[in-house]
Amino acid sequence: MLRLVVSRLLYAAVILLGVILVVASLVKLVPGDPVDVIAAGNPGMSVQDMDVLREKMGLTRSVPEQFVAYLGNAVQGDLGTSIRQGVPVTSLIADRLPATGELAFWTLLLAFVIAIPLGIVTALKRDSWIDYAGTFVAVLGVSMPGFLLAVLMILWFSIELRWLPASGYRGSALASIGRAVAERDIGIFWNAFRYFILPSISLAFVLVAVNARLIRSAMLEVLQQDYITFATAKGAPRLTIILRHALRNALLPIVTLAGLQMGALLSGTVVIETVFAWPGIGRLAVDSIHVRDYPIIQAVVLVSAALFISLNLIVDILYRFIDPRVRND
Amino acid sequence: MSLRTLTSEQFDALARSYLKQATLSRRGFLGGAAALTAAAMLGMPGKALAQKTGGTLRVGRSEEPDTLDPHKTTLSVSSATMDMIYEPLARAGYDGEVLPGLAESWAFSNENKTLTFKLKPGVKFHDGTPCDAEAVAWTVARHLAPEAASPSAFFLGPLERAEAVDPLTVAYHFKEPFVAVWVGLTLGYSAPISRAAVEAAGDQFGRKPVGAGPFKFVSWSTDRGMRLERNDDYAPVAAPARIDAVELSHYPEDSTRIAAFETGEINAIYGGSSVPLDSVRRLRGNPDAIMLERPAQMMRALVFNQKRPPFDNPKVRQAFAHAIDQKRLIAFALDGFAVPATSPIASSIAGYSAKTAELSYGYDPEKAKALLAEAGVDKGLKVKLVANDTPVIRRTAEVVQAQLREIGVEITIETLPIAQWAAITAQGGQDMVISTYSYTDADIVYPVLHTKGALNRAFHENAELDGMIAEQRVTSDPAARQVILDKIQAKVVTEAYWKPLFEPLNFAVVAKDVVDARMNPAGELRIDHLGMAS
Amino acid sequence: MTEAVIVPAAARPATERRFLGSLGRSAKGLTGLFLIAIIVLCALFAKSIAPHDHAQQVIEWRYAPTVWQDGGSTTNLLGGDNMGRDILSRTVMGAQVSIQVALIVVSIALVVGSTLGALAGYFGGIVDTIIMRIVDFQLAFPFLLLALIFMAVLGAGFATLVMALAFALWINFARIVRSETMRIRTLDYVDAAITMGVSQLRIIFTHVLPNVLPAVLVVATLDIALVIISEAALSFLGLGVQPPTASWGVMISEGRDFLYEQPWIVIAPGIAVLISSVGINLFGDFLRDYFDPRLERM
Repeated sequence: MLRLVVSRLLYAAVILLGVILVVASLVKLVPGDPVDVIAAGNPGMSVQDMDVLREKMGLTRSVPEQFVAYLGNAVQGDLGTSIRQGVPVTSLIADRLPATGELAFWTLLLAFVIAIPLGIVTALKRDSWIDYAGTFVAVLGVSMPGFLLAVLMILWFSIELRWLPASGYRGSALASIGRAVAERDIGIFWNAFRYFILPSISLAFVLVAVNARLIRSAMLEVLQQDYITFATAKGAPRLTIILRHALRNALLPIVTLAGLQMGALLSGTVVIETVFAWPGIGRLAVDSIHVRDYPIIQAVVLVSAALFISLNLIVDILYRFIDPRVRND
Repeated sequence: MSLRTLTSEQFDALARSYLKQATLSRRGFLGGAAALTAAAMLGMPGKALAQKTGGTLRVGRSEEPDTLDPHKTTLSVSSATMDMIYEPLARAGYDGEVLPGLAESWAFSNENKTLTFKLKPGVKFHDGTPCDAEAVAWTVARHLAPEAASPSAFFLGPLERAEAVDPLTVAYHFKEPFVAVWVGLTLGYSAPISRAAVEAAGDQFGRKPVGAGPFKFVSWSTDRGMRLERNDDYAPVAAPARIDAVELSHYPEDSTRIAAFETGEINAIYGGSSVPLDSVRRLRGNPDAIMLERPAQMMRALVFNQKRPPFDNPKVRQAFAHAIDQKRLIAFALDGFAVPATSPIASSIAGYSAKTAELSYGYDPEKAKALLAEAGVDKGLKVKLVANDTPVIRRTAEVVQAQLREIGVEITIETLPIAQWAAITAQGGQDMVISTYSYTDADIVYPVLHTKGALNRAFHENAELDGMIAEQRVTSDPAARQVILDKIQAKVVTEAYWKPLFEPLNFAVVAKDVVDARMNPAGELRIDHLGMAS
Repeated sequence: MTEAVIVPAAARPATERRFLGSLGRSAKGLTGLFLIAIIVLCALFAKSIAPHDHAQQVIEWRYAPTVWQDGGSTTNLLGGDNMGRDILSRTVMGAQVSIQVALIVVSIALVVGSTLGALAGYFGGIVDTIIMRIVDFQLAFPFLLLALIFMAVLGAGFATLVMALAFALWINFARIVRSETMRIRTLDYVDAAITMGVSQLRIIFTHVLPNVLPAVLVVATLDIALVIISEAALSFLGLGVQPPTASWGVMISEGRDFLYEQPWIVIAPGIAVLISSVGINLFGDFLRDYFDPRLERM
């Protein structure tokens, strides 16, 4: 097992290196640098001023030279300094990561809280109207682009009904729980949490659809197993059978799936953070791409790839524990 | 004629006129938003130093500052914020006049290469440390240091160093006379910052700024925005602000920002495109709102690349100019809220030539087709238009495309992110570009029309034009300068280097209980001058 | 085991009847097909269906409401947008763009992905390692972030859009074809063919590819829906097709600024995106059930 982990980690490192290299060269191959952006908004800047600034910012160094310097620092945990803001990139990412992380948390929570009962019910009531409704939700879920759902929900819940804010972020809802409990004021939690509702639903809808279907089919498979038939024959209560035996076994592959979905969520948040003006790393990436703040772009890609790879790795290892049939190939 | 041989009075007049009409409306257009800079615009308040009123102004803006370290940013929304926190040596007034700020007086000397300021006594930074000549000189040294790689250093021009002559006298030594000196020196970018605070905060100074301006920085968080409170020790500089505090939040989504105003969550929206064109009609009909508007010193124009056929042919350029219906364009792309442009110099900039209105090629599609036929390109002409991806510019490009289709020209639009747009159009990779600028002095002709100009996208070679542009730079007599500027504009318009499209309007909206709000030419409000009715 | 049993060759009348019969009994399949037909017809006859030129800008049409609202007229059945263009015409033309992009992207991804997947699965060893490492490498990128960087860096436009999406999707085909090939490779009759000295290419084309076809077909169908959604998402972020081409994503993105007072600008293209992706997903679901009822979508 240790050997497996080490080799997978080495492999992950190689992939990460490739990721940075691809992004770095992709971004730099294309015309336009941060100085162009500054000059476009400042007619007072002359061509000489632009050259001087490029020199000072180190943009005149060759790409390989910059890349090597970057890698050297990255290994020591220094992801560089934002060209535009002059602030360490790590601190910018650290600022934004919690907002994205918590959005992912509520999204997954929502996805599973809805998907698990939905999956169980549709499996137990196979071919009933509930099952068909489940199929409908599943198809709608994979068909509905997150941004469209987001826009439609803003139209309905924010503009028509004025129930929920159309965009923005007012701090961590998780962090506000403590204060809300201490001051016995649910309003404190609600004030932060209501900003999470529409973005989480926009992201969670597709996951609900996919997960409910997977749970349904896993349940169907488990329900046909001998030990379930045996337990039923023994006269165990139906609810116990469903929860203790069937669900537990059906959930194993699903739980590992959560890790993978967490990684895939990073992708979805790019769009959803833009729609809801969410101060997370997805929007940081989009904004930095626009102003060519290379260190930030590289860092965001690096961090998301690293998260994605490590989640995959954890899932992989977990899977080996859960299901001994899986062997190293 | 050399700038060095001008008397210091002449040079002073020239430099001031350079700023006249408020030099500071450079418009950053990052991410489509674009707050206007700055603009300090101190100047005399309408009713001299009205009473303290208390109250909090809650401002909603489309963008969030990137940093409040004046040496690390050129973003206009940051600049507008810094103008409240920092006190520059001089401030620009509501009409662009240069007024005392931290300095009470100044004089040029040494062939106009040295500018010596006399500072107001007793001024302190918000952290209590003295804001004296030493502080000014230290700030300049930090700004110019190569390792700072400051993007805003160009505002200081050919400045070599600042020297603290005595505690209240500071001399700016330039390598050569710098006519645009007040552009930067009236902005927060060049204002002194507290050395003690910089040394304590390190690279986090941009999030904990300490200056000597009318408002003290209190807090800033990504989720809750920024809070500034009145600097009660501002008296040595000028009258303290009338309101107690300012809260600045950013709402990137237009609809949310407007909703926040309508529900009273915020009571002011101003700066850049914070008041979206699409909601101007709605806000005008709101009885609880006061709308402020003023023509912006900006230009949006179609610029033809003369290095590429058929735009080397003046007839083709003229045909394109005749094909554009500016009124319809403004209705479609800007909901009618803009002024049709006639000259490369915006009509609100001193030096604009009114004669260009008659010289311009008006909307005449038949004439346009005839001209294309004369040039032999009336069949299947295909042209590439490069535009940046801000919404109004993208819409403008689409209207231009539709209108040129009416004379049989097929336009391919390429909308690019700002960085790429700037780089590609600088290399001439386009047939046409929708060029944009925001500036307040007629010297804008240098960057946009001189062969060596950083923003020249027509790629013409014309020694006569270059000569005139260089000459207007050093002509201190306004009437003589106007004559040259008239000639420049007439030439550019009649030879159809550009098709000027429109000059946008700046909008601001405040709640009814905000009193004495006035908009400066840059589209900003001087928050320390306005009050709140209780 | 004879070949005829394994290869569900579409040309055979019996198979065809079985397929049509199954389709006739499936509500999912029929509904899907019906929705797809609407979109495909719109795309094919866009020019005739659209009442106006989709790029025509008319001052009086600006913000025109839909026909069933106060002030609406039959000139603009679905209303007009902020630039005075007819929304119905633009929505209909948008179908063309969506289908074009989807077909091109999926074809490229299918050909490239299946070929590489078949090579990896059949030959194994170093070929497999190299191809699968590339797949792993790409899996480490969140899909949309990858497409986003691609588009933002290379500039928006039809070609880059297609490239970015195809580049992101080929791995789906590579993975499924590889695993199917590996499975089929071990079957007796393939072994027999190899022993008999049939050329490797011939084996791949005559035995392996026909067998993975159903799975590939299912993935391709579902990917078409994915491409339509992704195209809309990228266009929504301002990175999609360029004007005057009307794209549903661009329409939704532009209309977002007018949600308050003119929500219909967003509604029509929104419903169009939904109709096409629901239709394709339903039909894809049906195909999957038909070919392999046990397969559940991952």
